[in-house]
Amino acid sequence: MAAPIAHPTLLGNQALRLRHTKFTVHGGLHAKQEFEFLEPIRPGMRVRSRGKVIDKYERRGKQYMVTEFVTEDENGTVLVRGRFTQMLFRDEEEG
Amino acid sequence: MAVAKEITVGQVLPPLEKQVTQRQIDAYSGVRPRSIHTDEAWARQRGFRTTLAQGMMSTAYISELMTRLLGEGFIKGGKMAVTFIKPVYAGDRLRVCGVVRELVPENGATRVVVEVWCENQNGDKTTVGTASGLAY
Repeated sequence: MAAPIAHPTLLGNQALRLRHTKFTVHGGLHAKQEFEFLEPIRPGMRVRSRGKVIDKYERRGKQYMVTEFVTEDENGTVLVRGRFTQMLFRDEEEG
Repeated sequence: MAVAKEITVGQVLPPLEKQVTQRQIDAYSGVRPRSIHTDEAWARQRGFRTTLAQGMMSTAYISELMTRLLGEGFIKGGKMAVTFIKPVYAGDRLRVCGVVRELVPENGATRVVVEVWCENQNGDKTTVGTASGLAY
């Protein structure tokens, strides 16, 4: 595998912030994260993350949303995929 | 490439030691007001004793642990599933740990399944879960 390559989780935050592209949502805490690393991320790549909300629920008085995502290069090759669960604060403030 | 026959079930991975600093959190999360990661007054107002590191930082530490074990076999073919069970605060010291739990044949290689966790300076686990990758 030719160097240099990025650490596999480098683009995690790009995916994590997807909810802000669609919803005006409150801040919250990251509860769970799943990753599958398929192809190395390299300098110079232009990447896009996209995802969809696949579940929402309430547990012990707290609200959670689950998002499934993929991160792809310009050719549509999937580099990373996974899902994450975020707990949302109830009031309308930044997290 | 990690050599499959050299990895054994029960093998304890050499732990990583990480000092979580506000400067690292700022660089990772981006400084902005009303953020529990970079605005200490805001974090306290939200009930935390100080600013928190993102859970994602712990996934990066676990990724480093696994890459040290498996190299390219984690970069391409690696998986991770973790739960963030306790906050990691600015100033905390984390130990990133792993124990090999399973070796599973997969397409001519071996998937090495590792129980992973991070624990803070008080011995409290902050992140728990599983990570895996390929050895040849």
